[in-house]
Amino acid sequence: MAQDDSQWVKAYQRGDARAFNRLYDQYERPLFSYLLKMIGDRSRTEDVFQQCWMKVIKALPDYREQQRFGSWLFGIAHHAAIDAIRQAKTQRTDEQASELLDRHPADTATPESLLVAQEDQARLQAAIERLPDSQRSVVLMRLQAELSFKEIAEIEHCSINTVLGRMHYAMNNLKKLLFAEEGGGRDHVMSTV
Amino acid sequence: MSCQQFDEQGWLYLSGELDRSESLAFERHLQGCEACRAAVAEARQWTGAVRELPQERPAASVRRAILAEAKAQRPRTGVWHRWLEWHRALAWGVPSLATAAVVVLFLLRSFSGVGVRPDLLTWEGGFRQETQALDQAISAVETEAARDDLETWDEPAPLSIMESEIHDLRQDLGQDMDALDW
Repeated sequence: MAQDDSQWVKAYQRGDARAFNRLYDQYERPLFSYLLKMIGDRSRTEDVFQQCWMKVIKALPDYREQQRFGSWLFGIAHHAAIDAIRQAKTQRTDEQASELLDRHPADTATPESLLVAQEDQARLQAAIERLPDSQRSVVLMRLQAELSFKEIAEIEHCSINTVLGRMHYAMNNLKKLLFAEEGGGRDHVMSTV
Repeated sequence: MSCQQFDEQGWLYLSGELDRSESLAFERHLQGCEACRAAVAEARQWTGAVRELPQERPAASVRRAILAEAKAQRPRTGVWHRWLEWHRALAWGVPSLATAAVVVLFLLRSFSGVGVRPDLLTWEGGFRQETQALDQAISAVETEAARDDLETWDEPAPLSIMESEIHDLRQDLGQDMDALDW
């Protein structure tokens, strides 16, 4: 993918508009999904999504590949998402979060089979949205955008150990959110120190 | 529960970010540590589940707007664009050649003595008047060229020179009228 990205970037810099279409198609879903899960509001997400690509279009002619294109793109998106979250000043309250989980009540399935059905995916999605912003960002950039931990650390301007810690806490929190008994797990979402 | 080894290297191992020697060392550790083996298996399950979550797309209108903007802003480096640049350079260069040609012609007329105006006998004065007229003609051409990228340069219209002379005459006339008022 990285080799293709480089190829399309150079082709666009030579004036081939179709090369940009290939880049866009490659990252449309991961980028939009990342932003939607970070920001939460679809309409606002579409605005931010479009703004991110406009920044890319403006900078792409002079882009010199100091970093992988995907890493650069998600760096722009990450900061845009953080700005959007701050502007909206929306904090998911426990009441709002419980509504998400209550739509899909926990069943007694074992962990190995729980994550297979579509209803389980919805619950997992809701649980991810309940994570603290810093943990949610790491999970989504690593597992949906397939960025390395090193790239994530560069984007978030922190050490790689901090990023690894956030990943560790995120996984623990997801387990608690999904498998804790009803009404008991919501107060135990761990944050990084 | 896992031992510290997983906390330090487990996630990097799963993401493929350990170098070869570190990766082999961690795998050797896994062979002897049940806790870390369980942690790796669990992490693989969770990460796989998150990866399988459906990804969403924006509205089609958003995609169209972005692609249209990229097309409009794409760098222009093709053969056609290079030809336009060459042609623009040519449009700038021809007036310079015309200026040089007129100067040479003036000099030839001056030395041949045919049709020489007495007030233009001095080389400097005559040259200045001719170049001023040409500068005005060139400015008119430059303005037109700037307006249209694919402008074909034509010979400076005689009308432009006549208009400049008319302007000069009006100024002179105005000064004469002022003198009469005095």
